[in-house]
Amino acid sequence: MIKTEHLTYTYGIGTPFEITAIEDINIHIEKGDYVGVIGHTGSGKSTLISHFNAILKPTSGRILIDGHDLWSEEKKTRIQTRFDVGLVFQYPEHQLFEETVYKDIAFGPKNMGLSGEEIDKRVKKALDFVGLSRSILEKSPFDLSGGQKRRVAIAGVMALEPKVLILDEPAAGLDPRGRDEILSRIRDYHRETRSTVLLVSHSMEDISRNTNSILVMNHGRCAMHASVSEVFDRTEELIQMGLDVPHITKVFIALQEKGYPVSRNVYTIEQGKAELMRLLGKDGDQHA
Amino acid sequence: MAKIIEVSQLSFSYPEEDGNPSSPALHDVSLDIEEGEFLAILGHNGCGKSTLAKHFNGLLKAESGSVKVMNMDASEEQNLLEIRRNVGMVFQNPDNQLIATVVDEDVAFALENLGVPYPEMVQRVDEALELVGMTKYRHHAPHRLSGGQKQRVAIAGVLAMRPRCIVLDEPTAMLDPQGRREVMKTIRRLNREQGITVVLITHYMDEAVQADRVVVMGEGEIILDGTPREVFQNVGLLHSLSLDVPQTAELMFALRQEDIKVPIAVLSVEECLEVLEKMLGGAKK
Amino acid sequence: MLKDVTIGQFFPGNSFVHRLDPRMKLLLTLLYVVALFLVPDFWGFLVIGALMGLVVAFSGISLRVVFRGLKSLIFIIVFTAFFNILYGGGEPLFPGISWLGWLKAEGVRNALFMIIRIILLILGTSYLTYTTSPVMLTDAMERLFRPLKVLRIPVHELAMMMTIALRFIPTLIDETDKIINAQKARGADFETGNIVRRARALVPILIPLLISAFRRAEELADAMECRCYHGGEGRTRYKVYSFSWRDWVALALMLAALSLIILMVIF
Repeated sequence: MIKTEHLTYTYGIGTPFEITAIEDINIHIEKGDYVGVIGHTGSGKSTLISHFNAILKPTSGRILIDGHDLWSEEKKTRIQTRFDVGLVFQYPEHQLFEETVYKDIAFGPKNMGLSGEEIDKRVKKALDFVGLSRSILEKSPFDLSGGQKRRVAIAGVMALEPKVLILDEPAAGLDPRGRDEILSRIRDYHRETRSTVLLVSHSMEDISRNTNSILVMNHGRCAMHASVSEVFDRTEELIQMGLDVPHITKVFIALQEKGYPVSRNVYTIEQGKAELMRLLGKDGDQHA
Repeated sequence: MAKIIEVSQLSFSYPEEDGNPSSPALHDVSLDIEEGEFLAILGHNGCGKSTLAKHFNGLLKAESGSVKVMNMDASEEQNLLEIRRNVGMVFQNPDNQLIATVVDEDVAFALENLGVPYPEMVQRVDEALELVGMTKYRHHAPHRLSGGQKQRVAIAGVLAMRPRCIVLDEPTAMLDPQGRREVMKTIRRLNREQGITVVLITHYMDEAVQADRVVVMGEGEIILDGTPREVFQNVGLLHSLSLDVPQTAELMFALRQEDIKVPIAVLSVEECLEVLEKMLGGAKK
Repeated sequence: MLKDVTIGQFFPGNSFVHRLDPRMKLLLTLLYVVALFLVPDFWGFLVIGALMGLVVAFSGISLRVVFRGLKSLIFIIVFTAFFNILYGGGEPLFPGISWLGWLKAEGVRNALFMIIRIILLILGTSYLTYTTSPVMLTDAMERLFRPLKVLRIPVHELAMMMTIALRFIPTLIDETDKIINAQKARGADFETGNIVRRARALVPILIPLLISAFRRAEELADAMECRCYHGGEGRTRYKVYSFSWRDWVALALMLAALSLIILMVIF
């Protein structure tokens, strides 16, 4: 679906602030995958994803969406790419501008030149995906709560019905309720549309709970790109890159190092509990 | 110990907008904060925790009930300057609280307002920057700093007033893990080493467990108040308030649902390891 | 990109020019502008140019940076030149070629004169802002213009407003970039269509930007109150300025140049 070849991007060429944000990235993201993207601040995550919908032009290297080289073909390809690859930036509620929620969500589909009927269908569908009720469609987006605004903004991108949906820290700044709500909506969206989804996050918990594979960025390079369990298997490396590993993972790694036959790849409560129950069940009646 | 902030039976509601009557943001809240303690306030968005915090230094005035800071009534206009000098406040978005275009000039802002004479001002700016570990960046422009660094500058700007208490309203919500660690380390050190009272409003459980005392708010009221260990006993209640619980406590909670007898309020990796080892006993291979 | 605008930017440093007292720099810039407008002929520009050369040499900021900033002003420069050529009198420059009859010697001379003057003007004021932090600059203004308080002009408030504006310009520029990208991601098109269409395309940028500015202003007001801001009354200042030998040297040079130019005007 998305393929990069030696993708490199340098900011501010020729100024004192010149900095290479990403270097020699070669990745291949499969159609229908749900990919978590992690990395410390300044590791190049945001720069990388801004290439996927042609907001940034690579300094060198190529980027292919569905086999099309974005920058060797004519401009029309890139405009189409904006609709094929939906990008939700950080704090997307800051982009809301219309008088009503309906109009704001319809902004993208309208730019695509769709018919009124199709736009209407898409607005309602997107609203359902983010779990908001139809009654807010005629409200001003600025009268909504923070979490609701965020969801309207995400719906505005979902309404493009992109083949790939990329979200840059969609839960940043929300409380646990808002975070869980949004992440579970995105999970449902992925399952129902079978589209490719990329989730950028600092939270290993959020990533491990949601995605199928993980892309780890470190100092502008792609450090790992593998399944969730393969990546979490390399905990020490992740910690060295300045990333936070879930507490529960740390507990199980320590247990294993103390000689208990447990898996190192535990990153959710459910997995941890199952692992412990297995151990207890095998061994003993002492607690049963 | 002396009480630095005393809130009694405080109620407050925001003025209604466009005919949408607002439900009370705070309802009959009473809370005493001891000098030198590290208090964390938890609660989902809109539960009234920021509204409460804004009463601690007179940004909002009590509708009914009272707020006293160091025995001064926070609703009296003539006390405000003295209260604000003693109760500093740091907000969520570091970009929107830095006033000057150079770090040290920003730190000096409060001192200029207070009319501190020049030689003392320089000394206090140096001291504040040192306390947050930003001395190296004193001549930098704030907008070129990382989020964590900006937030530390904001803390220094408050520290320069030599306050007895600092109230931080979700200071880490917009930061990455690295920035969060920096800010938390700074806050902890100020509390332990400088004896400054800290009130930390947060969503992050790993931050709350570092406090001496945790207050949980919901719908404008205080629901729980105790040590982290006491508060995190109530996993079910916290879940019903849509709040997180430290993962280790969450694991214990899950085990207890299977009738395994483990303590609930297990708050650190080390503690959790100890409990699990005891539980597993001879399960080593 | 919006970020390429260098006009009005400050480059921190520790050079001779950086260390001049901001009040002196402001005064020198005023004198410089006066001198520049007194210049009677091209020889005068040599004097000003030499002065500017010293500033460049002792500021540690290369001319290249300034010229990158000039690019955005090229329109004004070309515009001025165009009108000077068009309305200049005198003999045709190429008497033999009839279709170049509008190109008159006087006009070309005037145009050249104006271009040099504008460039020198931009150079001088640019180096003031490049080497003086905006806060110092507004500070200096507040102090130099303090006497105006007698006329009930709110000098402190104006200076504070300027400081805050300067502090938030980079933040709002970043924000604008982000909003543009976010709307582009929803297929907004800012590059095609006639003027009306393009103007309308700005709405999705301007409204979020305005809202963000209001939100920031509100939060900033709270933060300022928390830090005991209560107007200009009883304030002390963090920056204390005193003139050093550098300031007197700079002033002497400036006065020498100004005298030279006045002499040129008289004789």
